[in-house]
Amino acid sequence: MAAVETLTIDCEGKPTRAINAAIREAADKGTPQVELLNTQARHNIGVSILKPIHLIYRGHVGYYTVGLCDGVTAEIHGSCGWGVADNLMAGEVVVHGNAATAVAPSIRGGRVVIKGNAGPRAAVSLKKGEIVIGGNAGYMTGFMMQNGRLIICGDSAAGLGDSMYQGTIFVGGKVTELGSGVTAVDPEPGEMDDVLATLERFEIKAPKTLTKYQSDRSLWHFNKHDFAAWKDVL
Amino acid sequence: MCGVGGIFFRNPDGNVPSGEIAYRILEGIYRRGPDSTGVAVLQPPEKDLLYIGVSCQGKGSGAHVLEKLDELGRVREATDGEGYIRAAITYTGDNTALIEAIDALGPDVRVSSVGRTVEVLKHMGGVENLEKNFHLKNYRGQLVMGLTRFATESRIDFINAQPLSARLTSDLVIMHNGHITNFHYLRYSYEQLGYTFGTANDSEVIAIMLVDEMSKGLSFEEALKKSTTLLDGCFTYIAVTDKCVAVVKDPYAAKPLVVGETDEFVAMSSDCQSLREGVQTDIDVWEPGAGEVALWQL
Repeated sequence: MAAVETLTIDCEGKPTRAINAAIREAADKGTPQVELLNTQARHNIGVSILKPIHLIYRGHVGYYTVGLCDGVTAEIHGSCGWGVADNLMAGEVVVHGNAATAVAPSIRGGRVVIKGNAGPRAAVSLKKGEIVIGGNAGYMTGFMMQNGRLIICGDSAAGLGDSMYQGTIFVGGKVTELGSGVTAVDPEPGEMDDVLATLERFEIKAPKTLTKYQSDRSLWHFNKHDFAAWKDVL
Repeated sequence: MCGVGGIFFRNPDGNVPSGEIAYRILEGIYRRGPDSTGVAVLQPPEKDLLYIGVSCQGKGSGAHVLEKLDELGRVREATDGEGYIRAAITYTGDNTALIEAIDALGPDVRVSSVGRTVEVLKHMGGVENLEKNFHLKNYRGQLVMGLTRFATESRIDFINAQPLSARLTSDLVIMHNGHITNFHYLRYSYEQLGYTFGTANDSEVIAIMLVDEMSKGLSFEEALKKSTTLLDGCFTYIAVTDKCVAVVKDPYAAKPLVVGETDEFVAMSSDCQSLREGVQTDIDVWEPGAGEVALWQL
């Protein structure tokens, strides 16, 4: 197999804007792949890339890596700071380490895979697409998610799926405490096979069992029995 | 906003570049808090020796403070950092009398900390002012933990700059990123119990709270855990004593802080990039979770 044409960028000493401009230029030219060396936990590397390209990060990355991107695929060989793949429209991001706060906030499509553990508020406001966490998930994971699928192979801290509208969450480990308006349900026929196939594809060891959670719809409508409580609040 | 961070080495013998590393960590979080920068460092304890830090912003008041310290005890070593005096003094009297006598020198003069082991250094602006006035980079002791302050609740001056201590208790300081929304209620409650506050900074109530809880019989760790339920608002704070270092996060994990650990040292910072710049390796980091207390023995 012929080697994929790759542009290699050594980030050492280069301003963030210059790095992002070089990636954008490569994507415009149709270069299939960019390899980024010496990322040194720097923030905002590879943001606002709107044409398909594959990014390989060699090392840890900081905040908002692969943020505001459309159609980009990326592999991060290290851990990432907060807001990885922020608002991704389409594409696929695989993090081979751990992730900080707010993994893939508000993504509208594509898939984000964290092989290690994720900090608080992963998948916050998930709108579409899929987020996979190989390890444990932090506090308020899946907060206000609106659609899409979230898979957590390890344990989840308190507040899982709090105030979620729609979408599904699968958890392999134990859940410290469910968030408001979340309930465990039986999976649809074939749904579990699909989840297991996804885990296999990313070489993540599947947990022995997975429990499916979704919104119990109790927060969808105003309940007149809650009126007294609302009166106090408002 | 504020930034917190620093490093301690597991081996207490020191002779490690802790000052230089902490300098780079604090430089990296300068933009989180450009108003003032302060650190807590560990010094070797000696009988009757106190490490005292005094805020004295008024013109010429530094000389008055040094004079008074020499009168009350004996100044062994002192640096006038133009607005903040650090001194090592031999003193055998009561801490309260010492603090009251110094505070009485003027409205701009306020004792910031009195420690047998923990010393506080602070200055306006970025960490380069700690280097200029106190030669932070030359420090090679076991621990440096610091804060870059973005003032919200109180004035930008030496008195309200962090780290903050409960002044009557030696060797306990805190560095707090966030704001305490029930501060006025808590402060009033503690004042009713007889505690005096040295600043107008909301963060000071954390130090007083820890002292109060421990006076009721709780261990340090129990007091830290209890603080997560008594304090309202968002906070990530580092607490340093002569025996341990702790990180405490609020129940919403609203403020960031990452920790990188090796067999040799534990380093932490509000920002992973500043931590990496500090230790200058591609260190793997983890983040304490919501409502968590992480504690290390020194």
